[in-house]
Amino acid sequence: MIQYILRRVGALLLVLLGSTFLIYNLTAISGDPLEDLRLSTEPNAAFLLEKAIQDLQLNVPPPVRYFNWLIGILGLGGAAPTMGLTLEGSEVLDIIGLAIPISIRLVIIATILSIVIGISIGIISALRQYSRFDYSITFIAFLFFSLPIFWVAVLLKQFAAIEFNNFLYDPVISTNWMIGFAFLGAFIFAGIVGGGRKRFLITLAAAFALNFATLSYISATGWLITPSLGPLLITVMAVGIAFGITHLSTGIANRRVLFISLGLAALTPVFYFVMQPVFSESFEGSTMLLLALGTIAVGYLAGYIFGGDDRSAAGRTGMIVSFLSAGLIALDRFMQSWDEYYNNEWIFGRPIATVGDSIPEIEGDYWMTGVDAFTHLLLPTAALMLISVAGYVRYSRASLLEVLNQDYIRTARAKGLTERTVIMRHAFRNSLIPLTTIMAFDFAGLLGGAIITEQVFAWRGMGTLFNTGLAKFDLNLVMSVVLITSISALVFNLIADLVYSALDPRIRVTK
Amino acid sequence: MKFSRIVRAVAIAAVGVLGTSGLAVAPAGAADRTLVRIAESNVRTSLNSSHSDHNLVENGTVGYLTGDGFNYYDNKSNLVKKTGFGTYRIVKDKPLTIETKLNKGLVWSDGAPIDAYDLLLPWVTASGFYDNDAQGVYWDDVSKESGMEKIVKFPTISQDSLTVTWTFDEFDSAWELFFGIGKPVHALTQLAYPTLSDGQAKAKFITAVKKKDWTVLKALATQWNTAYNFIDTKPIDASTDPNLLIVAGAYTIKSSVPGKSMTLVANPLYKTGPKPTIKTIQLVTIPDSTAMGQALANGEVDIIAPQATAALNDSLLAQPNTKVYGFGAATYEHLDVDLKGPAWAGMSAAKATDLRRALLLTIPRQEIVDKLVKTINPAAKVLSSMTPYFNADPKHAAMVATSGAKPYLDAEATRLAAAKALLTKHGYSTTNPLKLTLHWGGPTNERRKNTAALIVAAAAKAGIEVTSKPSAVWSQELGNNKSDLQFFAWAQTSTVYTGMRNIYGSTGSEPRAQNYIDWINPTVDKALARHSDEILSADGAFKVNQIFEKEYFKDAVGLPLFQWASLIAANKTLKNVKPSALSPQVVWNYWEWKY
Repeated sequence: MIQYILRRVGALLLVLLGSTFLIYNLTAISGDPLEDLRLSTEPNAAFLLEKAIQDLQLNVPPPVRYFNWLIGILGLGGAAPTMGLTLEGSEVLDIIGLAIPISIRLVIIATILSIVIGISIGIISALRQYSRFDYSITFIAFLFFSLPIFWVAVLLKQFAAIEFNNFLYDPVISTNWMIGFAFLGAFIFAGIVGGGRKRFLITLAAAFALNFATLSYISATGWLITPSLGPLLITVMAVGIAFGITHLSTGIANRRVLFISLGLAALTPVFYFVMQPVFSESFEGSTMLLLALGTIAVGYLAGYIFGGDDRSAAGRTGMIVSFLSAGLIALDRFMQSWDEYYNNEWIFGRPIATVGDSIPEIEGDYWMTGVDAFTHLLLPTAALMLISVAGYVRYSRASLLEVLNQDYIRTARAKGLTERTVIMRHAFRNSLIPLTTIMAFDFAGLLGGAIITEQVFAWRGMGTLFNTGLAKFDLNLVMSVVLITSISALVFNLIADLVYSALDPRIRVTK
Repeated sequence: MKFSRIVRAVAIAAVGVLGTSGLAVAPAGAADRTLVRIAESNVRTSLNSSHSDHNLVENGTVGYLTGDGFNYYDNKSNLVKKTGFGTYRIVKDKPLTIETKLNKGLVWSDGAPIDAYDLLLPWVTASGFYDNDAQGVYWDDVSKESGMEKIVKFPTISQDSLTVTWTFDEFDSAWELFFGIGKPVHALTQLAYPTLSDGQAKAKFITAVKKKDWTVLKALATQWNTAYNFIDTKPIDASTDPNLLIVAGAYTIKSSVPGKSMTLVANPLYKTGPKPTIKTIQLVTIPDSTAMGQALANGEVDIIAPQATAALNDSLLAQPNTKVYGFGAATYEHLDVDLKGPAWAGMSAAKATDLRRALLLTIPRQEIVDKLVKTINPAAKVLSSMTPYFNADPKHAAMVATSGAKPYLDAEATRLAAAKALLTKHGYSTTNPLKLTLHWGGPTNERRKNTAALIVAAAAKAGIEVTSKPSAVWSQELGNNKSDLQFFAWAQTSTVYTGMRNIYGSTGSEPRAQNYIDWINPTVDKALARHSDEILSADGAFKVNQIFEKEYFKDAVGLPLFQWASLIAANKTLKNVKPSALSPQVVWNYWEWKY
């Protein structure tokens, strides 16, 4: 094992050396950083040109400059290791240090949501193989998978931001649109539920009516401008969550777990009123973290104490139910700040943003800045997700179908386990193993950011740094991004291999 | 890369066709807004745009909005005197002596008076007299060696410390752009010596300068070179040293987030010009031009200055809340003949001139402008002056009438016939073509690629076979004498002509630094020297330029093509946005903006 890791790390260093050498030289010969100065008509252009050549060592051939850079990075010249300076003379390390958190903030939510949603849809799609739903999802997945992201971004900005903000000036949904949306939602839901034609039609009708009613309510009350959930709706939704999660984890048949979940859901309205004064204007993010952890602990303990024979499963269920229900209360509180946000002078009635990660000058409490982060994250996250969800759908569908054909699944069914147990405990878990590799790559991408998405949404993360570095032939900047991105890709690749062997007993790492 | 650009263009076009819409109904109170957000492509890096590493447009914009001075360029490239700040006059011609006088009662944003010492600082930083290699003292200033060094004698400061009299050792016609204030002397000194009071700080500065106290000067130069350069790595907030933020202009810096934005608010102590209606200006970085356009459509920014492309122009025009201003930039494209190019080797001077003229006659300038420039600036015309007097300037026509540029404005058939006659004279024809190589911009530059294609096609009709090739490092290869033709653009930054010497002049035997075409012409040298050595009126300068342009067209060493088209787009409800080609560009008239 140790030997294997050492061998991989050795290879990793060689790959790094080769790739950085190549990229350094290619970038160096790809253009002329002094173009502007050469075309300047200033009387002292020659003086400035000479100074720039000295400063940037442009009289040294690029391969030699590469080794100077390498000596700097490794700290071999007697000085402390340094990533060098940008063309403007700032420490590259400082700039990278600012960019990494921005990239992570952008990519992490999209990655996690893509994984959760993609895998969920993929599983449903596999379980409803060759159904209307499966075909539609397959079609949509391939469609989105093949879209270029800057194009998706342009369209998203047009329709989800510019047009939507226009719509908010007078947020009345026309009947045609209402019917359209309600039908689309109902069709998807009915497809997920499945069953014969009769059941499909009944589900479709019921879901359509419910959707239509909801949209009418939203349109009639101007809910989009002054959104809120309120204690009643939160309770209803919490009960729904309790049923849903219990169904997935242990099955509704397990009454004990169901009652625990429902009990937790019943606490939600109480908790709602307790929290209102706590969620004040001086509320801070760290308190939110504590609250989240507390909620999870309470849920788990409730399940564990009252769980009877199936303690740990009941604990897990309780944990998820209480976390999601409490999440609704926090969501409601964010919604209460929406109106103030909407009317802020910096927002001016156009809340959904197309550029940037926040409005720097917006003055407000935790809730306002939270809403601000949401309106800025919405579009880039959606753009990134549209494309990566599609990938996860396809991978998880294929993986689950393969597992379902295994002998041990037949054995599990033969010994009389319920279909839910076979799918959730035997098939689902095993189908996740091949996905670890893809997830590892996605997480490796966190540090590197998203080159195109960051650029078009004007987030100054690693991707944007790479872009501007290339455009200005700022070698130190480009190389630092390349270095960090390639190290994280290689390291996560190694981790994926190790995790894989830990998860799947059939695979061993050997020399 | 190419594919993605095409798709991007299609995407922009698609949005245009779909009917891009902007603010449907303006919210109540739109007319009371006092906030303007300006999108810029690059990040701001420093509060000291005089530093040679930080002399970027974005830093200059902040410098203009927060700074003050004796004059500024308006949108017609007139140098406007700002009498609310102070006055200046020529005291004597020989030696050139200038008196600059500050108005009484001007203050920095911290309340400290603006005085003669503040006028002195730009001279200290740019002249080079206060640099000392042995002592390790160097003031990094982008204006080094552009004229301040000609003021050798220590300037005279009046008793009231408002007037400074400067004596030039050598004449410099650009003197009007030299004087002004940059950083406050007291604050700069306090950065190095935090315990000093304002008065003590000023005294320390002036003593150090007068006595050349290298220890103190080194401490000050270090602050000047480094203290202000943190904008791309650190925020400006309550913890920022207030000495770094003291300004004299209409706006003060409220906050800044590295790589993202900077917020300026009106300076209550500003009184040298009209009070701006706009109380807050936020500068936002948006690198992508399409993103800029959509941010404008969404009301997130109010003014954008994107990279101009025809597709973007079309989609901006389709946005209902947007007003698009196409205009000519201060940069002009021109075709040059490298006089030491391989094709001319061994030819007699007369033959080479004939062949050069033949080539230049074939250039389809009108077609180039119609196809590649008018898509952005519909008012664009063929540029025929090289000094240049742009088409909007009445002097353009006057210059063309006498310079010898006229034959190049003839109809295509006439030009081709003339070119053919010259080629036939020297034995070339379509079957035995003259072979030339054309060197142009980087391979990703679509406009240059298309220009080259048009030139190649037109030249072939007359019997000149032009081989065109791009190069990623084309600007490094300018003037390497390996090709016969090259085209690129000169960028003007002011209306003074002192820089012309570098790009067309020679020392008599050797071409000067940026004279990439190796043109040596004593008449031109003599004429251009007058720009540097004499006080010329506008008419006087025109006459000198006339001599230059006559020689330029007589020797057939090149041809101006067109003025670059630029694009500004702004929120339609924001009034009085007037794009301007010269720095400070669009922000030049911030005090006129209102909703």
